[in-house]
Amino acid sequence: MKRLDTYTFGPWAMITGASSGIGKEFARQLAASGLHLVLVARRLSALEELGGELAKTFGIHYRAIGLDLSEENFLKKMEEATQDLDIGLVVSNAGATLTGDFLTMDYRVLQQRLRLNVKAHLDVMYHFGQHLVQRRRGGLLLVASTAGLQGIPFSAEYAAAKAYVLSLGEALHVEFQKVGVHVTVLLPGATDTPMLLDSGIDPADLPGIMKPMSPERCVTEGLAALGTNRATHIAGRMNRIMAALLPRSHATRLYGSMTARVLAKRSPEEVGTEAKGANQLDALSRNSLGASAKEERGRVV
Amino acid sequence: MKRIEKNTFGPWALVTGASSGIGKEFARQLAASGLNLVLVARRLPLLEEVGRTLAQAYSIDYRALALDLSQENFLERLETVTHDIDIGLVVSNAGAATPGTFLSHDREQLHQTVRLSVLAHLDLAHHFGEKLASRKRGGMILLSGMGASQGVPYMANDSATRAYVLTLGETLNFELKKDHVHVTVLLPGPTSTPLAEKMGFDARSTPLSVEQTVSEGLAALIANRPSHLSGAQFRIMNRLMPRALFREMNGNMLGKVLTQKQQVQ
Repeated sequence: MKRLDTYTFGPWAMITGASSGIGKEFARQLAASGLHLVLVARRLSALEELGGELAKTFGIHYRAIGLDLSEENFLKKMEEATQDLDIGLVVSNAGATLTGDFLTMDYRVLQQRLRLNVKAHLDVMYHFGQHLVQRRRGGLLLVASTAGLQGIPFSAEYAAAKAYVLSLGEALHVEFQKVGVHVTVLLPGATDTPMLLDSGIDPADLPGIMKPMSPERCVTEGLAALGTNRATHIAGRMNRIMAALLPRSHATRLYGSMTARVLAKRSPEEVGTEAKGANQLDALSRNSLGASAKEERGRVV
Repeated sequence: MKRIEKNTFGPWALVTGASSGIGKEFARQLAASGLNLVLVARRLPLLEEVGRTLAQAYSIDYRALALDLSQENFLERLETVTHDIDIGLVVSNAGAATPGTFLSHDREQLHQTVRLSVLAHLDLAHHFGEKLASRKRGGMILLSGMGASQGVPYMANDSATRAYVLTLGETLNFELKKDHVHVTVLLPGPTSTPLAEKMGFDARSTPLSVEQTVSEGLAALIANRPSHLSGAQFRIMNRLMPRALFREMNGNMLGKVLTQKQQVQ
């Protein structure tokens, strides 16, 4: 694990979606580099626990902010909670999947996902981009996904949103390069996190070459890419090879038949509970497969 | 000009951004195939003119509706004008370009672009996708743009929205096959339109005519291709050029165009 330069990327780093999975691993590795952490996610208690642990282990400071990035005005709250801090690195990582037939999706859930998976990244890039460009040093790391490299059947909104994030990051990489601000888009493939299970993929169903990667390896690669200011980085050699070899349409069809097989194995109640007619009051607190936040432990970020 | 099957893709077609450029040409070619038209854009007088001209020339029916697709509730108003007719084709074309450095925009402007260039497509695809799927025939054309497969500096948010639409369309092309609904994302190569002119591109840098771009788009829809970039020379270029180089080229080109525009102003 390579240490990040705290002068360029510190003294504070902010991570969204920090309570689990890849976000949590970013927190750990950045703390190990000696950066103080602003941890953002919905579950404040999980953030406090994580922050306390990292502060003890690595001697860093932390600030935990309980925030739902799909809320219309999250940015104002985020600004207020961080305006006294000199943030040198932002890991824009919070997101959620949504699995099932696009046409059966509850429209309000689609809108909520648009706010979380597109608008939140836009707002964070805009606000913290201004700050970093002014300081003329720092980094913005956007967590996209290999899902954003082409359409993915039964993940219409997620793939499209990740394509947005990839594209935005690529453009900002060039725009901010001149003023010394690093912008890197990290594209994880299947990674061993709660989100993977959330998305309906059972790791046992994945072919050998596509076994999930550890969050540790994913984040190590991501930070190395940020350090050298690579515009984009696909985590994992096999993922890189597949991305290079498969044209978009081939990949879409491949993912399509894979997912269709996986979905066929599950019961109709499990799939598409975001569909119209489902309890809409509960819809927004559900994870991507319809289990509500109350039922799941540790899955919602 | 490409003729399209009225039985499959008609009797009515909806075209957004129909008052000029590519949208207007879609209206023309669809009318020539005998489809009735629902024309949507912000400027009603222009829409009425387009509708009247086409109705006369091709003996079709039309309805014109002034709508700003960057407004959150445009679908409600659209429903009142379309609930009683059978729409077989949706051309989701309304969009705009806002070149400039990312940070030079107002945050509200960036949001408006997301509403117009992402949410509107999402809304139309979801709403009409359902109707088309239940009739088991028809199609949707989503307009994206040349920046769709890689981010373009000085068009960061715009090109990102195009990437969204391209990817959404690719997914829907697959998902809607079982319902016999065609979905094609059209990426216009450098086409001569009022929008391109407004951005500062001269005739030399936009060698494609709207007629060619739209014909190719309709042919791609009929063949149910997930996406299509108009202009053979641009398809070749797109295939040959690595992502990073394309990005740099576009960035330099746009940077130059923008600088010139600023100097002129």
